[in-house]
Amino acid sequence: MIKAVESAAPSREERLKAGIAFCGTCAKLQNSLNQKDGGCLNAANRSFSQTYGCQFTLSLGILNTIRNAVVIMHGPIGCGFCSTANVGMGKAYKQLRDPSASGLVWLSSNLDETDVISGGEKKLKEVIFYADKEFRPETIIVASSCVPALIGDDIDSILDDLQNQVTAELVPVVCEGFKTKLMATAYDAVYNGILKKLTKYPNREEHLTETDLEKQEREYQIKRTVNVFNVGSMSRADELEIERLLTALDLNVNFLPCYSASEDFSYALEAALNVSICGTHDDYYLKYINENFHIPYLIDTIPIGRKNTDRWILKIAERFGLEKEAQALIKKENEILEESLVPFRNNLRGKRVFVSGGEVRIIATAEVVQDLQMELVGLKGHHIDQFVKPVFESLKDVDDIYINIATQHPFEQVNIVNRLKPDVIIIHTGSGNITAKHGLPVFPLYGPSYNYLGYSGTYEIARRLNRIMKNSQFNKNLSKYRALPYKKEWYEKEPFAYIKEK
Amino acid sequence: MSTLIEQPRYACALAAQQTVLAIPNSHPIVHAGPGCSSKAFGFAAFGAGFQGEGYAGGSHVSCTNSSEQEVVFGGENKLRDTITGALKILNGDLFVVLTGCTSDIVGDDSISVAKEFATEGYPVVGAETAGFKGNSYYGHEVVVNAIIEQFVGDIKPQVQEGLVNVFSVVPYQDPYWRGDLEGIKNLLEKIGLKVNILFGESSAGVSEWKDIPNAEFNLLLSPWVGLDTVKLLEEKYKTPFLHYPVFPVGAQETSRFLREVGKFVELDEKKVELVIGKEEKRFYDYFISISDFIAEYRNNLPVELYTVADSTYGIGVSSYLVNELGFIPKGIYAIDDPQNSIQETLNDILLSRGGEFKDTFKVEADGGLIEADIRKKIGESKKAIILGSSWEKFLAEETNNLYTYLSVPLHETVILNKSYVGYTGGLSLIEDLYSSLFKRKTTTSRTQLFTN
Repeated sequence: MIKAVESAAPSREERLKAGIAFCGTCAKLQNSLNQKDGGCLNAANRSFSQTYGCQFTLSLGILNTIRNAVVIMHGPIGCGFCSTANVGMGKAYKQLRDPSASGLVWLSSNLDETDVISGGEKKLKEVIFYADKEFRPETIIVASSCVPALIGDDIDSILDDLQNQVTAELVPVVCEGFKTKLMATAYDAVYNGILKKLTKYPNREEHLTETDLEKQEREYQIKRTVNVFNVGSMSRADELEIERLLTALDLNVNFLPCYSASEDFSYALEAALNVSICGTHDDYYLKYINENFHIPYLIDTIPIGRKNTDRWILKIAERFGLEKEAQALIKKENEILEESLVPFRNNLRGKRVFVSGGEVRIIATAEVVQDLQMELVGLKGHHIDQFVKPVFESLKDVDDIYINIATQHPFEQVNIVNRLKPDVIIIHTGSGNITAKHGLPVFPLYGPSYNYLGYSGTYEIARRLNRIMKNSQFNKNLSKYRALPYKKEWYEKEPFAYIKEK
Repeated sequence: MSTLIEQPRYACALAAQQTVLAIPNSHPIVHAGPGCSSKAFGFAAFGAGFQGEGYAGGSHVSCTNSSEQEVVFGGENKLRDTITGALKILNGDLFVVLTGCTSDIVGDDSISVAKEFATEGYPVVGAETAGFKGNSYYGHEVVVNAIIEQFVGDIKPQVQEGLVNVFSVVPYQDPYWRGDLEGIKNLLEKIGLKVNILFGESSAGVSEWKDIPNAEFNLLLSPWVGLDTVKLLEEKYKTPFLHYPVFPVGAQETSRFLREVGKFVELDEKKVELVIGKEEKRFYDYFISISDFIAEYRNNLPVELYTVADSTYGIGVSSYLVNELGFIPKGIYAIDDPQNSIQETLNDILLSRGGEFKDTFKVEADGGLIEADIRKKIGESKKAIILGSSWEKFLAEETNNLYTYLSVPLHETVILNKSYVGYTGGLSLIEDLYSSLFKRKTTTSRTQLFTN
């Protein structure tokens, strides 16, 4: 019996007791995490804040990668205009998976003042019919923003009513921005839509006869198949590295949900294990699939850096009784990696590093920093929840190191970085610029165009860091000529002055 | 007015945060859900040739990040906290509160909250810029007028002879705004005027805004955006305005523009003519130097012109290319969604620059329909050049025609101080147009040109 999918995913502050505001040592953070409901983390917020992304933006980040689909943004024109940035690049990334993939179709229902009064249903219908007729996609995904939520458009029932009149499968993704302070709720919102419409057993041709051998062969393949749940900001090169490592254990690998086609969610139900790359992405989906389609899942660490990659591979291997093979693979990979890092070690050793970005990947990246014998001086994470715990185990001596939990909020970042005086900052896109203006070299954390995961990713991190640290003249130049927006008095204040625990 | 929109050409009214950021040392304070401000930044700044956060845009924008609590109980208190924090932390001469859809739908009186701070002497202004109320052009006007009403305020003008306020392209929505405004300022200074350019690198910032009432006249250099503003200033400070609707690109239009400005403020005609003569000599010296290239490669050069831009830039550039370089206009698409009542006027303005433009002009905000129309007109032609955004690049590549960037979104180029305004801008456009010939795969050398 398959459980009905709830009408919309709950916010993560409710479901996971996740938090967005914290500043203190790693020891204090871990202590809070171990308390019931995350201790003081969950309720904390700021009395002054700066802009960050909403779940609608992040949902588009995933939805825009799905192949043979048209995404309709249901809201005023401003909701989603940022995804024009995906038009050219997104096409190129899709084509790395499928050379014939087409680029992004950008469509908005363009709600205006009249619609706010009379409802957006009429316009939504018009766009759906247009998309169906003009582009003939397999799937039409409707992402709905704040305005439809406030004026009471019932997206699910509008789509249900229209389903018989169009050829495409209509998928509702309810992701209004004001619903949650945690951008990461987007992952659940997207999976909620996928669960509603795309997660169903595939329509396989029934064989009139199937020999026992054929049957065994089919079932064996399923028993050896792993679905790896990727993230939109990782690269095709990352996928190839993961695939290389898992196929070395004789496993078949599928990648979902980013850059997959809608039918891939059906085929993925024929697998033995679902594995999350980044724990904070997939639990909503994987738990549902486990309960209703009986595929076990693994949510543990992220394969960044050798310790975490070792652990990730071993955890998967355990599920298939392949520990011995995995140990041998890990040993060999570590030997090769160790040798390849030698040329960079001298230049990097002892340099002070600040790492900022998504909670899971910053902690894993910190392990690479320690591996390279650089000095970790501080951390900053977008949000915090339980999924970071296993990654923390890879770090040593971090109890006294400061960690700031803040989605963007560069005002806190400049204050902290100014105190810690790192030599380099490793940072997620969006708030690195201010540090560049302070004169520091910036190393982008993770990205869709370069390798970061697995053993080869660790080598790439070392190689690129080394190159960036060689000449930071550009940043030094910047710092000489740039006025900074923050007052001198702010740098003298405590960086957490605006965080309130309740 | 379009209903649905495919391939957007402008952002929503909240993108006016970029208008605030374009004033040196000024900060927007956004009262909206999380995501609104960063989306506006993504489209308007990153999407305009990677113009970055500048002084304090991007992730630095103060924001209430309104969530369910503010939607249910109202967000005015959170806005007060956010303004208080911004004033404490940020160095700024002007702070403009901008609202988004959520706060305007739930009915927060954000403008009054801003006024509370203004009354206490802080430079704080409030404007309602919910996305459902209008687009980038609308938001720009709302914000400019709000700053004039609330920050410049009711003061008695002390008119300075030769001082002009310029209202023209919309910052960031015109991807070349920085270079354009600098160029316009330079031109006007050459004929002896003192210029409040108000936005960008060549503006002195808030002091220029405070100086607005003292101008001898206001110059509106755009067909319709900003008309409300100059009318407001006429009413408020009795400042007359000159409305010059064609954006000057190239020698003919720029000289005409300078003459009209000179006449309007009764500048010494001889002095103006001296400047024009000098500029035209320089322009045509350069201009002539492309004649070898054109004579040699005439058969390979694009001749059919498609322009996709707002009515300010689109009309100016098209007029230059048709009247001075001999292009044949095929489709001139205005993407700024002007009111129906002035669409006829826009067409007349274009026709005033040449009969060739008959039946070429279309007002269309839906990029999908523009693409469909160009496809229909272009047919099998390989002689077209499309001036527009990244979308037109894809269309040009697909149809094996040429393209040059003119309007947003532009995600495949980096823009610093490029501009097509004036004499120098006209020359710069020639370089870009004809260089694009060599960016086509089949056309990389002379021999290949001949076999093309």
